[in-house]
Parts: sequence; C-alpha cells; structure tokens
Amino acid sequence: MTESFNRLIQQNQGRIRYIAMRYCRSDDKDDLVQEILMQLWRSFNTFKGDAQVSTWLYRVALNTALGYARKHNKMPAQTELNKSHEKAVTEHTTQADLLQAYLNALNDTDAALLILYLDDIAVNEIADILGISANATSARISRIKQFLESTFVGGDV
Amino acid sequence: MKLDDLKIQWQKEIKMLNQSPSLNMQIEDVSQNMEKLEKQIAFRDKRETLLLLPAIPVFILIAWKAEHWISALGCLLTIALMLTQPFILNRAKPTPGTQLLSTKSYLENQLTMVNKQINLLNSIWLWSLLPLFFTVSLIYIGDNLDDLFKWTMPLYFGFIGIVFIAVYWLNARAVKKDLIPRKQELEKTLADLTADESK
Repeated sequence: MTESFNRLIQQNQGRIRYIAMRYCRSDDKDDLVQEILMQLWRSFNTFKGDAQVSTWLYRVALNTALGYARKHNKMPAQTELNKSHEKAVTEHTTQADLLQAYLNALNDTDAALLILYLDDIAVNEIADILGISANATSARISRIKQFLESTFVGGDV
Repeated sequence: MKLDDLKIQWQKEIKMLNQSPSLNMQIEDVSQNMEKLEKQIAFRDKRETLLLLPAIPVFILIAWKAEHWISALGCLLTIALMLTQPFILNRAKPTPGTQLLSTKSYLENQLTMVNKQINLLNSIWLWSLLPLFFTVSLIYIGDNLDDLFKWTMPLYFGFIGIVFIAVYWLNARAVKKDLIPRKQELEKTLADLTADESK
C-alpha cells in the first residue's frame, strides 16, 4: 500500500503543490502540502478505485485547502488579490504570472473550478468533485471564460 | 487571450512542479512520515482528557478524607463531570473522512460542525459551569456544615466565581473572534459555490 501511495503522490505532486500555492501564503505552502498529504494518506484506505484517481485526489486536496485557508485565515485580502491581478494585466507579464494573478482574482470556489478545468477534467467529473450540477458547472465555466476574455482582450501576453 | 490558452501554461507549471526537488524530499517517505504524524495527532486529541487525569486522584483523596458524606459526594460528582466533558466536546469535533465528500457536502458538514461548536460554547454554563458550581458547592457545604457562613465562604465562592467568569469570557471571546467569522466565511463560500444552481 505504501509503495502505491508514494507513487501516486509522486505523479500528482505538481497538482498538490499548485493547489497549496493558490490557497495559502507562500510561507505556509509547505504546511498546507503536508496537510493535504496527510488527508490523502488517511483516505487512501477508503479509496477503492471505484472513483477516478483525479476525483479522489482533487476532492481531498481542494477540501483540505479550503478548510486550511479558512482555519488559518492567511489568504491575502481580496484587495491585495485585486491589486496583483491589476498589476499582472497592466504590466503584461508572462503567462505564468497572468495565470497566478487570474487564479488569485477569483473567489475560492471559482479558483477550484478553474484548476479542474485547466487540468482537462470533464464537466461531469468537475460537478461530481464540487457537488454541484453539471449545468451549473458549465454556466460557471462560461462566466469565468467571459471574465478572462473581457479582461484580457488585446493583452499581448 | 482565451482561457484555453492558459491550459498549456498550466500543464507546463504542473510538469515543472512535479520535478521540484524540495517536494520530492518532502514526500520521499511520505507514508512513514504520515504514520508518525497520525500518532502525534491522536495524542493531541487525547491531550485534554490526559490533562484532567492528575486531578482525579486528588479528588478521590479529598473524598476519602472528607468528614461528611456531602463533601465526598461533591468530589465524586466532580470526577464524573470531568470525565464526561471530553465526550461532550468530542461531539463537536470534525468527523474523519469528510474530505472525501464533494466540496459542497464538505462545506455543509463544516458549517454544521461550526454551528455545533458555537452552540456548545454558548451553553458552556449549562453543561459545565453550573454543574461544576453545584459539585464544588457540595464540597464546601459538607466541610463546613457546622458554620456555613464563616469568613472563608465569600473567599471560596469569590475565587470560584472569578474562575468561572474567566472561563465563560474566554469561550464567548472564541465564539466572537473565531467561530462567527468562520461561520460567515463558510456561508459565503457555500453561497458562491451554489450561486448558479438556482438559475
């Protein structure tokens, strides 16, 4: 069991780390990564493979991150987020900065949805992970797309 | 600029993070670390109960040496109260495995837990302070049956009163400063998540 768990984490560490980067400040990132790993380890026994690995991993990681962000209340304030978002837009920085700024400008649940969308997770699976209907998921993705496209029209990023 | 253009960027970043040496070190033997951490958490959860344990022999000794059965009864009831309180507190602790739920169910579960904690702390006088006041009063009454209203009485009850007021104030402060903002935050996140459901 331990070997398969280690392998699974090795394959998905990028996703875990990216979620940690979004849901807490950089100095707490390692703590959140550890908390996510802990929760994944705890639930690994109950994960029988009936669900897809991505569903299991994202459910546990996103729920832990949302819980961590609220409990530790260490997320940058919304004004701070908006400033970094504006900064990225006005300074025409790299796509990496833009993606980060864009994720930070969204609220916690929209950011979760965007992460899942960027990872090419199917709409039905996103709906399953978040616990909302597929229609609501599609509507929300469209809204996020609209927001990005209207905000960055003409941006040479 | 299209949202789908960012997918390529996302894949690049995930690939880069997958090769991050610091995380590789962190998860080198994640299972071993997790087992250690689990033990630490199990100890932390039982710490409140373990802290009460040294007080139990003290109350047993006082009961044993008590001159009147009322004092002994007070001591025994105090022990019983001390033993039941961790179980009452445990009822408001998050149930393991909720991370496996969908985000919506997880948030609803968290909200239920926070509401339980708020109710529990708001009613601490009912399930903890008042019964404890009753039992320590029995100890005093049993020990001072011959002269209940002597000079030590205001000192004894004054001290207990100050301790109980401090406990109540600390709990009320935790509700106001920690739990209420957490509840509001959870309600907001849930509302954000389900905003498109009714459309």
